[in-house]
Amino acid sequence: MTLERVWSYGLGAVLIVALLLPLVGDPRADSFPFSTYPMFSGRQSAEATIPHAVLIDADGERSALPPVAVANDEVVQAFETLRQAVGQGPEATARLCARAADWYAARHEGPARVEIVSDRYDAVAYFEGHKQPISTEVHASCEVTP
Amino acid sequence: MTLAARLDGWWRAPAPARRLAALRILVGGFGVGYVVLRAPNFVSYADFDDSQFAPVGIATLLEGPLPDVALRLLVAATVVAGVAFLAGWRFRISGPGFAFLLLALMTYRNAFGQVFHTENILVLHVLVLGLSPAADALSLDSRGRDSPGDEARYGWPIRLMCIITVLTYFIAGETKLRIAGLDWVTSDSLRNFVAFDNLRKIELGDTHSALGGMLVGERWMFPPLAAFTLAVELGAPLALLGGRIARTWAFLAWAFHVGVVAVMAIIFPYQLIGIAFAPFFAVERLPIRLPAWLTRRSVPGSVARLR
Repeated sequence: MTLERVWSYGLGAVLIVALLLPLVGDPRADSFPFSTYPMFSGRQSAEATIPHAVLIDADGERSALPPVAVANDEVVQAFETLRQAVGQGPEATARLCARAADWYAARHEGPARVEIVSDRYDAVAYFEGHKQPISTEVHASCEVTP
Repeated sequence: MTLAARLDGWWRAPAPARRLAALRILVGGFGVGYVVLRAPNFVSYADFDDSQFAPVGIATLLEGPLPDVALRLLVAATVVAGVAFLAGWRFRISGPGFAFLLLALMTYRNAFGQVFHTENILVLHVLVLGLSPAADALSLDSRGRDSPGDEARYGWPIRLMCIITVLTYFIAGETKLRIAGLDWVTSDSLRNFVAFDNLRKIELGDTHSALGGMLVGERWMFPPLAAFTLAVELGAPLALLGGRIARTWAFLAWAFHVGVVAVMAIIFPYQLIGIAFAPFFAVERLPIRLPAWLTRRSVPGSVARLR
């Protein structure tokens, strides 16, 4: 057997086994680059809690801050960052609130306030016109300091 | 013919060096472009709170997050190695080098609590190409030499790339069955996922799919869409039969990703551009070539002869 043939079978076997190994473990345990691809794989309820960063301007108008204000341009990374901070408690949410406020202050002028909020929604009902959250919890609130 | 001989014939079916080389150019070109375009995202992880560091894969070898400068160097080195990989220059070094650096960079990006699923196939395809003779044609290393013909050593890496693509889809389908069973098709799960993901994007100030939001009201649509998704995923190994079956599956998988963009605004660029499915096709027929000034090799005495 030539060395090239051994290499072809060796590399092939290693990669195929590594790809298949997640099949024998916890289906929710994720890794990279070998994964079970668990995102969107479970049973999802219509009700969902969504943590997010809200800007409240001087007129009291509320608007969503973009993912980059708390993490980067990836919305799921921002969601995970917010979810982790809420899970870690008041200190973590206060830090994230300050980061979002700094991000806003670097780009805009005038007084404003940032809140880290969890809204619980019926997501299906939302798209059927019922846009009010079922419940709201404010985790942190901080002033934007220019 | 014994089963082992038939398996060997399938695994090491000869293929032209130009096909493997064309895949190197397509996959490498995508990889370099992706790293360059997404560089701001990759370096953004330097600003993350250390408490968010949750290493996966080879990032578990790290004791903590990388310093800012190391992360920037990793991005730059990946681009440099990627250009050499793309051009097929000193491929014995640049091939494995780009494969390792891309794996390291992408793994690091997944080490902050969110594991993405957009780059897995790209990283594994680059790994196979980088560890195979993918620069024996259409490359700086091969300039001045004729392209080798059909050989087994150019066939098995392409076969392995096809296996990686189909297993990725199969595993995604199998995970749905393991976690939710057939409820994933028959229940409202997919509809709820579409509603939740679009609402999450609205709440977090990102672009959502207006079409997805509209379709949430059409409950009857989701079980057939879920069945189609599962059929594409679990049926993926059929593509290894090759020919028309492989091309049909590749089209259906691509159509699935188009649907995901339309309904959830989630983009899988490697799949949407079609490169994830390129190993199933005779890509050497594409008009792919390196610039002539790069591949020309000066022949001693040629100037004198011209005179």
